[in-house]
Amino acid sequence: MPAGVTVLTGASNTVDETTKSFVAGEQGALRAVYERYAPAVLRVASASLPSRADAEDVVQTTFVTAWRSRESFDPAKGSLLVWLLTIARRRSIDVLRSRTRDENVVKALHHADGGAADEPARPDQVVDRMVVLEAIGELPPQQRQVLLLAFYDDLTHEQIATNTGLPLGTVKSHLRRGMARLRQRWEVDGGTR
Amino acid sequence: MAHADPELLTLLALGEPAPDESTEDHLRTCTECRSELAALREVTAIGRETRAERDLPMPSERVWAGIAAETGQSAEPAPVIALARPRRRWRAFLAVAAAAAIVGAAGSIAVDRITTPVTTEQVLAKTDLARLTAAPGSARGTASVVRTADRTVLRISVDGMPAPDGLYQVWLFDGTATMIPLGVLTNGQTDMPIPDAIDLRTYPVVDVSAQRLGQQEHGTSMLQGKLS
Ligand SMILES: [Zn+2]
Repeated sequence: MPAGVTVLTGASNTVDETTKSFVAGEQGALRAVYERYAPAVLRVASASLPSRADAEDVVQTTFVTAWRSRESFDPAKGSLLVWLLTIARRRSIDVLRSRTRDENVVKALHHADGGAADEPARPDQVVDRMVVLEAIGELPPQQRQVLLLAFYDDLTHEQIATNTGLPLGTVKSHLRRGMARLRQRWEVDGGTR
Repeated sequence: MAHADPELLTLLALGEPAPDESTEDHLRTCTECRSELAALREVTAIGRETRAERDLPMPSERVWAGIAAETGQSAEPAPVIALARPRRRWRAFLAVAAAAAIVGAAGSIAVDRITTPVTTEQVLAKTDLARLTAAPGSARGTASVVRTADRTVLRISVDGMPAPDGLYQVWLFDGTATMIPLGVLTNGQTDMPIPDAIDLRTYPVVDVSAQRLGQQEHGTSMLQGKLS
């Protein structure tokens, strides 16, 4: 390995920095948070609201509300992501209430609550997924890779070892640590809601 | 008997079979281990569900315009880097997980064809490019950061990729929110100059995406690797 390698591997804690600069109201921070979390906020809004236009309105309100009340965000109580998603869920419910006389929306809602096998996920399930997805994204790369081979490709730990060339013990340890980390994030941010 | 080993509980939660009867017997009688396993199973279920959530779209442009107007922000994205501002800052944290599903990681296997020593060149970092789920099983590649006499380039070559509908584009990615387009991939080996303003510690991930012709935002990731 060439000597220059170490220069490239310094991990930076961008999540915390972005959150801090958001709370501090720094220039560019709202845009940075928007770019990171807008897809997740839109996803959660869309889980309750059948109309894309309504869901996008909720996204707009959510980020405006979050920015204006940013000083009330307490990182000790949960992540910025979950704070945003909580605002989005409340706003979505408000929009739904204001539309209850709209027959189509009501029908669409009932449909979403139905028992079909591939029914759309409920908003709280979607929040859980976003929390876990963010936690997956924050795992060390090798741990993440191993865990996703188990999750998405349904490989056993032995198959993962064969595929990656990692020792069995390393694979098992990555799986345990990765899963423990996801669980911790989910229990702090998701499971306790 | 002692409680079940945490690694074993993790494997059970992932759906692997119990290795022996004594483990099963213990789980039948120990509420502590059972509730541990139940929690891990729930995490596993959510983890598997995230697969469907990896490529979520950004809201349309009007949403940011509305937010900017209401909060007195500039409607323009803040410049990330002075010289080579990306056409679009793209894809939230979700891209991280999308990037991570690397099957049959080429890692230790791929033949490194690009580090033949040339006296005037220095390899600063390199990575094998592993295929993502959108790419065929044969796809693979390598990328390296090479300092030549007068510039620094990303030297990239790929193999086993299907003929694109549009074209393949190479990006540097910070792993969270920002992707910087470097250039269009041609056959064989391509050198793409890396602007001095780009700090590779911030943008360590090399991404090759399939793009429709004329598509400005990041398309579908095909190959990825992290420089080290
Ligand atoms: Zn026990």
